[in-house]
Amino acid sequence: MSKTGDLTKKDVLHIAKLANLQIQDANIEMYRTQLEETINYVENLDELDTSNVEPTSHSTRLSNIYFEDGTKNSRQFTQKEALQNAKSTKKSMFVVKRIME
Amino acid sequence: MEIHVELKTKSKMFCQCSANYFGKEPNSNTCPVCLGMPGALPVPNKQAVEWTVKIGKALNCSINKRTKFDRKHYYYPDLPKGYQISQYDEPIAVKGHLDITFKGKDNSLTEKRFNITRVHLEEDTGKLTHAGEDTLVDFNRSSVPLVEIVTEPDFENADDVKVFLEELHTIIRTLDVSDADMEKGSMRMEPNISLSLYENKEERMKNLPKYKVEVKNINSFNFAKKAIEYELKRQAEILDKGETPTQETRGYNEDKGITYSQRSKEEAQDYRYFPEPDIPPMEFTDDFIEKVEKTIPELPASKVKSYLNDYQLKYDDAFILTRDSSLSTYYEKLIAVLSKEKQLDLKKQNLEQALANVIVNKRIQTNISEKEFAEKFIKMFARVEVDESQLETSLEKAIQENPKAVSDYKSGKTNAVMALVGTVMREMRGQADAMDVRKRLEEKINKI
Amino acid sequence: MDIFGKSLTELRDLIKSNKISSKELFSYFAKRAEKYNSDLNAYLTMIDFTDHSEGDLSGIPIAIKDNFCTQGVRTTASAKVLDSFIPPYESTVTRRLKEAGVLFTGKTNMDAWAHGSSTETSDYGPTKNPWDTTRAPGGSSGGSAAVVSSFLAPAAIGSETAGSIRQPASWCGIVGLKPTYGRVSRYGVIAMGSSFDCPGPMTQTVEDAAMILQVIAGKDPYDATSATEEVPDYRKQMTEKRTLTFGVPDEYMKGLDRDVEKKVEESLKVLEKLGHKVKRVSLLDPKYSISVYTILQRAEVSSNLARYDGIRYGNGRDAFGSEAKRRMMLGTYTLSHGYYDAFYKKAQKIKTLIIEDLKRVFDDVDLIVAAPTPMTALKLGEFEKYPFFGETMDVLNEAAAVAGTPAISIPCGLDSKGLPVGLQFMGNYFDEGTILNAAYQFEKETNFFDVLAEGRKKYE
Repeated sequence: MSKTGDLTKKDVLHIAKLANLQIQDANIEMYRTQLEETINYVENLDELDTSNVEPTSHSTRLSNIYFEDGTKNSRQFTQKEALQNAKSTKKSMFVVKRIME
Repeated sequence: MEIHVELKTKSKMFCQCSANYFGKEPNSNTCPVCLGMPGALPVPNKQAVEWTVKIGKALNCSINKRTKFDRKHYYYPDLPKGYQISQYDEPIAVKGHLDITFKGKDNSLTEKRFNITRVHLEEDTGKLTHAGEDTLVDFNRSSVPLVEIVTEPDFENADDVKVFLEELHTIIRTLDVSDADMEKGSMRMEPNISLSLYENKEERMKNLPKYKVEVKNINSFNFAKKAIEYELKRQAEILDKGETPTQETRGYNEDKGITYSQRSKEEAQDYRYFPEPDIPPMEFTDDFIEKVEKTIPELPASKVKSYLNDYQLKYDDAFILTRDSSLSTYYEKLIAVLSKEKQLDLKKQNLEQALANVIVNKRIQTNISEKEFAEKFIKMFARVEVDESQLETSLEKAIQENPKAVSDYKSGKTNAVMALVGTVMREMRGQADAMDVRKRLEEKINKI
Repeated sequence: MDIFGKSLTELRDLIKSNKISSKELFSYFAKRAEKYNSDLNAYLTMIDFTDHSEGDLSGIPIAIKDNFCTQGVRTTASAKVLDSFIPPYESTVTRRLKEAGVLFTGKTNMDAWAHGSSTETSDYGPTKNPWDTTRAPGGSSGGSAAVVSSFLAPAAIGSETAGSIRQPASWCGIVGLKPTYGRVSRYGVIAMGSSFDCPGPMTQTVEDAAMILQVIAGKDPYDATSATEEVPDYRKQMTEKRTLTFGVPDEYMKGLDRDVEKKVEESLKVLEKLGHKVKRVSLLDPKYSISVYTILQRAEVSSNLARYDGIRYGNGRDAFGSEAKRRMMLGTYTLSHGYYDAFYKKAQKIKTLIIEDLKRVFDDVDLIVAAPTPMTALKLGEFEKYPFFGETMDVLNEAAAVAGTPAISIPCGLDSKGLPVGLQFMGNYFDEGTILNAAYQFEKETNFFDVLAEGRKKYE
């Protein structure tokens, strides 16, 4: 894949696969154009010099936030609560189409 | 090698659900966090982080002062969030090693270094069961703390792997951070196997093979050894034909003793790691690392050395006694108790070796209290008070009443004297030293 | 009793003095919703009256944006993927409100997954702007803004990733406060951009906003990113006599609608009249904030939406709307092999620059003042004309979103079309107190030019 300009249909399908999304053939070009539009816009970041800048992932400046092992669990679901929103359950387990191993 | 160890914390890695999921009703041990519900957020378990530092230190790693969690993305029904919270470029511990002394084929002792690439902390997934057309998912295990230990490619054969895994298993058990139970799956391993033509390590590292085969579903050290031996043979056959083995993940079938292809033509995974925005980074001070390090008990390898040096034990005995920290503690407590005992006759052995013999040969079982064991041991090695006049009479009597044995001995069948020793010991009701009796009988017969 | 247009504070006094029961008050708003919601489409789910706890806000009805998980009450984030999702757990914000005695009127419409600035991406149809039902209320908290503006609830909870409280507050002529990132727990709020998401109050008055913030702010053991700083007494800070220095960034006065620019200039005069100092300052061009925000937020979206696989709850991934798919695609692309440094890491570095830039200005001024959005409410459907479906509508909100600093949008008059115009105060980290103080002074002086009364007039 390239950073800008020449995203291919194959690239779009590869991204969709990684994102676990089904994309209809008719929409591939739309996604391709939209991706390019955004990628072209954010290229303005290249105007700024970041050679001596550290990245920030947490603006909070917090560190070492933990919980103590064995803390009382007041959020535990009953089996019923755990399963109540599922489309399909069997033997108190969630059901998916058979996966081959 | 990649080894996964489930920690035996009370709570899961990122929520307060129990980490002990074993044998529970399906999906009865979950909450919004480990079920990946909308809006649920992870908070890390402090104990799990400390124990990972502990494992790292025990494996002689350096601990990263600043470390963080990352999201690792892939889709699988047992992964509730669509990503696993793991560690990518800043694992808790890096660059360690394990020096292991072991007996080679010729019974000589060799020491070998196995390098540890990294030790990081992550969360376990749910469990899949396959039933007919369906695959069923249980999330009780989801988010149980999991430590991943990755080694350098330092293994030259299947025996190396077995020795390493056994030592690692003993260390983890000694650290008391995991059951490390292979059958329950709380210790899992995935050897990555490929064959190299280079014997020299440096050259080998420079010219790593273009493929590797990962083997999964191994649940004992012996199976690991067998699976690797099978793979080495299989890959050698392919390479000998001038072909390259496929890069793939293979399973191990323990009944047939073979590996089989699970996922071939594996597309290079793209996990799209990025720093977990829900968890602030971790910063470890020297004080913290030192405090954790102080909780590490003496490790088996060091114990073996001190048993050899301080107690002059035989290597095999020292090895066996140190495989289980509860056994070595038991052994050391017994030494402390028995060393005060003056009435022992250990037949020229030191107490430590005599005790080691008794334990290793199971002459006294170790499933009793130290006090009971000590009593039995004292009885076994009690110094004997001999009634000298009675013994003298008994010796004379035995010689007179067994002329055949005496003449046999004199004609060169020296073992014949043992019959006389037996007679005397019976007469003395065991209240004599058999070696001493034999010596004196021989003197007397020789004088006849 | 005449309840129409009463603030939270006033309603609280009525309940405390037993002039009205919580049940009567609740049914008053339920009836109004029944009457007007079919026009506005501001509520997705109505909630029945229940018993409530006794606390600071006993018996006060408040509307909740539909991305807050409410135990036993359908929660969809306006997305068909979660069409029938009933959370067996409560978000920290709604739990704290319940503990303070609040009753929930209903769950409000929003852009699906909070992806948008117009509430038009909702899988349940757009919310209409109460000022002009041919116009968008802004978004993503458009439903919350609309119910407050039309007085279908005296106050609402919204959430902001970048502008989702301030922009709809501005377009609907109400007060919207985005607190410091981490000040209010995100636990149980359906995640959009995890490093930006901020729950906050949307109200008729500044005092109401202070009162709600007081209840929902504070450290939460279930959110590792929630701040450990102590929560001050906001109403006390709000009413202190203070003379402040305001900075007006030149870069934020460019490209504004002429009406909007005029109202901001007039507001600056009000501030000066109140004895405050107003000075020009310079900030990084806001276009960089858009880029940083777009990259980081899309990446987080692609990750946060990965859990919706239809196995444990909800519908499968084919139920995602096109905006969600579009965002996941971009996020996936920027995180994919070989692109992380060029996009994600680069954006995090510029984030550092944006934070330093704001800090530099806050060394010099107490608050930054700007418009919250360059124009007033657009017509429904008009968004498609703008890049990234109206992301640029939030150009003036994104610096504070990226840095995680607090900001408020308050009404400052009407434009020539008779639509409300907003004014924004941005503050330093955890300085909600100063923001509320300035907004309160402005409100006392101007009564927000009667914008709120004008907005609800049609719904009397």
